[in-house]
Amino acid sequence: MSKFEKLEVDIRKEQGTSAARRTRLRDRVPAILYHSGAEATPLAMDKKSFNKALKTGQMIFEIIVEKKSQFVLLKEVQYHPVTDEVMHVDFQKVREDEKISLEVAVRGTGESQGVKLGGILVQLLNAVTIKCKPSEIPEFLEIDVTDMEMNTNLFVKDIVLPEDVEMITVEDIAVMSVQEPKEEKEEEEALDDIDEEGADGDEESSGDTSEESNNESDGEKK
Amino acid sequence: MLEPKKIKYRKVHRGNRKGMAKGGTEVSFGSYGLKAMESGWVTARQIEATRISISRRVRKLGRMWIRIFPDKPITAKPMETRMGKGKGSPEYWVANVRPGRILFEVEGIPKDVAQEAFRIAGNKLAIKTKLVAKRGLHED
Repeated sequence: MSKFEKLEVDIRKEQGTSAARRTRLRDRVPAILYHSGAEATPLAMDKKSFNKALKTGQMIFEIIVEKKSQFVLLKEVQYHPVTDEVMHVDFQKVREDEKISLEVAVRGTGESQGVKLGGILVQLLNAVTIKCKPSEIPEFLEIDVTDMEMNTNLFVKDIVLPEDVEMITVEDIAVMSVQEPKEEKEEEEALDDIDEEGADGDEESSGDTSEESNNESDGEKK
Repeated sequence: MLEPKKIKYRKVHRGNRKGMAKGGTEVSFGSYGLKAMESGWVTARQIEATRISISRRVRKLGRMWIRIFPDKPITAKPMETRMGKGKGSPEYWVANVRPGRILFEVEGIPKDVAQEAFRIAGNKLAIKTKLVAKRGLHED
């Protein structure tokens, strides 16, 4: 287990919203490390090095806490809704002999027959949950879309799994779909509708104002 | 244009637009999304204009999703009316948008086409927007 990205982390002494905010101001990312039966450890690490490690697409990292190295699984990453910066990270301890369940991305390979005929390939499921040993975690799972025709689906059961990897996600969920494109008539109709509505709206509003202005003037006279 | 089929109350308060989006901040269905960078009311007309603008570029190549719905009625008083005499009548519908909200998503088109589609589409809206890709998107 030496091919994994290394991250130098510190133990956070202060916890809570304000403390986490102060940590982020120092260009560090607050994190937490947990494992069943053990007490959780609050951590902090360098933002740049974590972002670099995240870009590799790996799910397992080697973290060095107080000069002790251990392997952890990236369980969850929280992002800022506007800036997309990493706000907080959850790590779970892993043991080499212990099987873990995690989410892995699914990617389609090849060009489907339906797409060649003008269909649209839509990915309905982005990730699936699998169970395997930490050393056997695939970066992503592939699903072959070459034989897909128009209006057909590929399901979780069609994903080819590497050896010793167990699928946790229900098998009859659709992953990929080739759909027929919608006709352009709709767009033209919509355009006509909006023009008509616009014209009607203008007329209505102008009508209303003239009537009401008349009423008002009447009232003033009275 | 989009509007609710059935409503409980015809007129509602203005509410507030403080803070950031709580949900709908990730690209969930397509590959690329248009994210709001400011808060504001997006009207049903703006949504329709944006939808048409995007669908012109997406055409038969891809698919599009609208992630917001105008469920808030806005009232207005008629022109040249004196103040008072009660609240105005509902005139149009808006979606309350907070920064971070994904407004539209597209799938099946390359990044440059999506970028151009969202650039033009963003001009139809009264708020600042930006293009975002789905997290972990594998680009060939």
